[in-house]
Amino acid sequence: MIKKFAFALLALFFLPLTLATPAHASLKIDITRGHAQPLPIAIVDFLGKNRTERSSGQQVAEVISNNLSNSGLFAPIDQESFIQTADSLLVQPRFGDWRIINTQALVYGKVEMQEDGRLRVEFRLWDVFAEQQLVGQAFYTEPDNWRRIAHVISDKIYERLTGEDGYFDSRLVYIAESGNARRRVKRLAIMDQDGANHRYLTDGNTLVLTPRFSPTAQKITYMAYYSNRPRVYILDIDTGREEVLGDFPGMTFAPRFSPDGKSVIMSLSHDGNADIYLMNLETRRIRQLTTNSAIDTSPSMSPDGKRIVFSSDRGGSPQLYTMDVDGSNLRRVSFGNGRYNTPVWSPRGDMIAFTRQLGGTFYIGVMRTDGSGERLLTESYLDEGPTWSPNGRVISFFRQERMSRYGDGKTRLFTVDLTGYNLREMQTPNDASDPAWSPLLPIEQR
Amino acid sequence: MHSLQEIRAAISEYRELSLYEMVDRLPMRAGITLSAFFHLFALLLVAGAVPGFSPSYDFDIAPPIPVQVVNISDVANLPNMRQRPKPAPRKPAPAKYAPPPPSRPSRVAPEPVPEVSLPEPRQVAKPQPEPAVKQETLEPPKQVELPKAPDNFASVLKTVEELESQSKPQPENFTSDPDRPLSITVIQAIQAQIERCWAIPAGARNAEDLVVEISMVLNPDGSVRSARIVNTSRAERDPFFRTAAESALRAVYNPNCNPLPVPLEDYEKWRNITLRFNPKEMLGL
Repeated sequence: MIKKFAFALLALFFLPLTLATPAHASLKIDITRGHAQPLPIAIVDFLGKNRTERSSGQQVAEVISNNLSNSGLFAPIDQESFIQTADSLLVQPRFGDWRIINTQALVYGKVEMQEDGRLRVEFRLWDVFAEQQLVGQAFYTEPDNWRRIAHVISDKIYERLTGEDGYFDSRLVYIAESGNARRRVKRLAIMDQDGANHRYLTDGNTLVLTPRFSPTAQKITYMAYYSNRPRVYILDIDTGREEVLGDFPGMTFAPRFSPDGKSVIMSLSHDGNADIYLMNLETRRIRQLTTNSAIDTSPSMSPDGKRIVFSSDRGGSPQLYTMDVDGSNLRRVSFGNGRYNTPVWSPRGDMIAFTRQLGGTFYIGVMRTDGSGERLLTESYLDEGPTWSPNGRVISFFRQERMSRYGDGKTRLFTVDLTGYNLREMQTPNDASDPAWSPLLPIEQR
Repeated sequence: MHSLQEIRAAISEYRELSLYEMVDRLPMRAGITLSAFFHLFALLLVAGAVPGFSPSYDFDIAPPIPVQVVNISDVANLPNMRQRPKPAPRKPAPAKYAPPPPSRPSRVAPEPVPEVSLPEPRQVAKPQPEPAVKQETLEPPKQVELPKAPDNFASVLKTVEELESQSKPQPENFTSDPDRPLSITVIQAIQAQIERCWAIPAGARNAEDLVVEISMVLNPDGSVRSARIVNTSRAERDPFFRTAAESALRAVYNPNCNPLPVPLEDYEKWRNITLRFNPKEMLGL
């Protein structure tokens, strides 16, 4: 009897527990769909104590806003809709005011002229929902250099919100073309990634082709025809020093730096047969990597320096192949119809960008390094010459319109996001082709 | 030949007769024939030769159809879930200039920022400012319109080529564990609401591996009391994962997707929810 009673009591004691267990277990729900809309971000004009400071603060905010908007990943919110004033922000952001206008990230800062004549720009990035500061930093530079600060701040915001390195504090070189089709003047030109600070690097008396940036320094390699002789040159953009890489028998094509910047990989042609060669820039020694009767060209190295992708017509039509840097372990990676050309290994290492020609149409596409997951991102009469942004997220290329009867088909630079969205034309003073994107510019840490 | 009237009379007479009487009235020979006919019929029935009456045994046995038992609530309409009368206003509608909702305390005081100095601007080689080039005239790059992908939800990655249609197994979106009696309708409504606010990490490296779990505790009104990243150690290690996780957190905290459309009376059933954000399907990989 007592036993039974104890058992009943025990049961009574545990009953609520057993009933409660399923309720306390966490309910699991899978979220498998979402959107790819840009993130709404509020960029407040940077504050300053006087008119000059305020005016550069406004310009800094404008450049940041422009950068982030161009990336396609952010949607800067119209300043007219801001509720909280810039001055009160420095005390503390009122997150409710920002949530109401659907802001998810908030950027503000201030500009100060230092006594030593330098400019100090400070910024903070906040997560509005989590009410948390994500980044806060200050930068110093010469007042004339304010655009770079705006780019660096844009990069910091981009890095913190996407997890990837930024690419705004970078430049592009390209071939500026002018004149009619018969007397075409081709000059090497350089500009900031957003089109500002445009300059010409050569005078146009000689024909220049295929500029390529070093991934580690502000140096480019390019081909130039001095007195009708094609040679490979290296130009240090900061010092202006130019050197001839070498006099090679036959024709030289498509020189490109290795990822460490210490060698140059290119294709040399003897008697109508082009092969891939690697040249060490210090010892100037040359090694032949392919020995094939077909045309092997457009080599590009993976960022770890272990593999090379190139285009070859050994299988009939030009297709993409990869091999180890010593020429071994060859693999064909493209298998589609048409012709695959100008492969470029992404600085992120996970993708290869290329030009594909199919019928009368050109495409810029990407594939994984083993050839899987091929996606064609752009399509036109002539799209060519992809180059990666330093973070491997954006591709720049050039697009030529079909020549009209008067020979006035325009050639322009474009950018497109890796996802295939956000195709944009870059503004250049005249026709532009063969872009090459620089690595990020250096920043001194203090 | 009988006349019509005779036949009618005969029929009306037969209607009142039982079967036995009818048989009795038949001549003797007819009785024997009838009996023989019925016996034959009975024999054929046993032998299985009568088409309509034979049980046939030579059909294929169909495989058992799996049946999944799930609880469906009375209301199966998603919008209805959110339109049902609310017991109390969950949140006062924010007036445009009303005082902001109370912020969570602390954390907001601006900390000192690390200082970084940029190097002196170096001269660009051969600075020959061409008079033709005016930097001020450079307009921001204009957007070029591309034809939109047919279905924005099919994939967040664009391709200009038609992809061959491939059927992919649908991920298990729900659990049929009988211990969790919250109906699919509610779960789907929660899914639909969060999915509206979730920005997928499209284009990130190995984005298909960025599966984020967010564990959240809800208030009785269905709003989020607290939410945290389950795999915090990976979030500290991997900046891609951290931003993916933060983007999932923003979806959970987004005022446009808060409070969740849950049946308020079943608070215990949805007080703790773990959301698993998996971008794989959207990336088409």
